[in-house]
Amino acid sequence: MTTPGPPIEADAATAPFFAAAARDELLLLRCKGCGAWHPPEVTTCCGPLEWVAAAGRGIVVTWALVHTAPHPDFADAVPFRTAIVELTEGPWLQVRLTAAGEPAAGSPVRITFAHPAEGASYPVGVLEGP
Amino acid sequence: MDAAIVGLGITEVGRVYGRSAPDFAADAVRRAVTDAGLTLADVDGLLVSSGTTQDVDVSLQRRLGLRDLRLLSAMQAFGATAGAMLAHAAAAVTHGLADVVACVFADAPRRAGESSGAAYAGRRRYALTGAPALRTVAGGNPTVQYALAARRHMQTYGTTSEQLGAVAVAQRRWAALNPLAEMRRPLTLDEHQASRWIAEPLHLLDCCLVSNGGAAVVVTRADRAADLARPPVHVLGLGQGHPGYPAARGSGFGLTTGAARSGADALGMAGVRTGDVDVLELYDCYTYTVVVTLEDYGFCPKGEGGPFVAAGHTAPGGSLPVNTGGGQLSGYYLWGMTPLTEAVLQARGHAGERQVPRHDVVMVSGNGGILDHHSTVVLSPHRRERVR
Ligand SMILES: [Zn+2]
Repeated sequence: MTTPGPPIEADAATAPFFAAAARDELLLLRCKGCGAWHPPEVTTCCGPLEWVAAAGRGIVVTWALVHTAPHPDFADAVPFRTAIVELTEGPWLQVRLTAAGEPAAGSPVRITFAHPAEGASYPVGVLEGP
Repeated sequence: MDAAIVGLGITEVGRVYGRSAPDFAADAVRRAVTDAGLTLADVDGLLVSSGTTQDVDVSLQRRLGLRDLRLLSAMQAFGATAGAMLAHAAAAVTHGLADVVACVFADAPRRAGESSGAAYAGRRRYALTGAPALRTVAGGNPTVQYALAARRHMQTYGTTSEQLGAVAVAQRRWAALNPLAEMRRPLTLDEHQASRWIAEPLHLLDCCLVSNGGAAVVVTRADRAADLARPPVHVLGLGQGHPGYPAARGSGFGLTTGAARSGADALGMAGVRTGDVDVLELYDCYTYTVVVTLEDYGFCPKGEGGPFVAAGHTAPGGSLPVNTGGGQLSGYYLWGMTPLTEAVLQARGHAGERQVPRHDVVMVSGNGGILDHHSTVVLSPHRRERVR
């Protein structure tokens, strides 16, 4: 199955995150000072941030069924669902939901990974059964 | 605060082609200065704001031939910029940093023969590197993010698509009375419901127009305003709210916005309450934005914005006229200048067929980013001590 969407790449700050995604592993940032978990875009807390393996589980906060391709490379993939997932550790991650099924707020989600032919691997979500 | 809006300039707006955003910006400033009964030589402050084309900058000074300015800046808080420019201008004239400040916004994203969606898509820059790229491959874009916000509101409070549709229908009724509005044909709730999905739960008719054009206001000190050509519109209250939502557990994204702080601050500065507000001009990039702003400003309890609009309160003849020019959904889309320009017309009593009879207190919102930035302005034809 081909992966829709444009190819993306890591930058210096997110290189460990995307390298782990290629191995089907989800990393999040954790502060060595206070222990708080942060999503990949956060760059500062009270102490140094380190990449730590996350459980890869969460719940749906909200979702949308996208009908108008948000990028030309999604033209053949619409409609598809995108969701904000609240990971067990607390941070939010927005992912495409790759399997069919109607979510609700609180629906459990398992993070898996897309490995497109071009560009970096990245997390996607699968709705778990009730 | 001791400032008033004394000039208003709105260019031709909508499907107007062959002119750049700086062309519209210069035209809007000239119109606003003329409207005030002033000349460009009187202007000693200029604040500029760009839309999608990002080419309205401080070089507008030279284009207008303005000499020896005392205040000049390009400002950017997205949809909150009009209110932010007004706050900067009002503070400047109050404290003598400048005497006559023009604030202008212009954009020209539309091209002839192209849909409004294409107009924005063609200019969108996609994050393809690092953490922001995760949203791109998740299928996010501004409209999708608003759909996510709206869905969370619906799931939490029971807001329905029909209630969002009621916002579009009410505003279309106002637009029918506004010769400046692009969409004036009556709209039914069924047509809203039948319009195609962009990103569920948002239909096409939940989304604003895309317009070419520009608008400007001229601000001066209240004591100077009395001698000018138009009835002054006094700036009674100002506020901003930038929530900085964490992308983590506990975020109020979709439920509560910067309007809560911004609105309370602006009403407090003006010394009025929501019950004193006669006309409300809300930033309406999407129908949902109107619903959540009504709640955050305190015009109805949290979660009841949908039923409030569906009950008809905001439509012509209702108890709280909202977006009396049709707003960005049906009127014209000039970012924060859409609600601000209509507010000035209403406060002056110059809104023609759609004029609201009582217009002593007019409240205006601006909303930018994905609910990341909010500004509020409270306006009145009266000075603060004469309101209420
Ligand atoms: Zn910390």
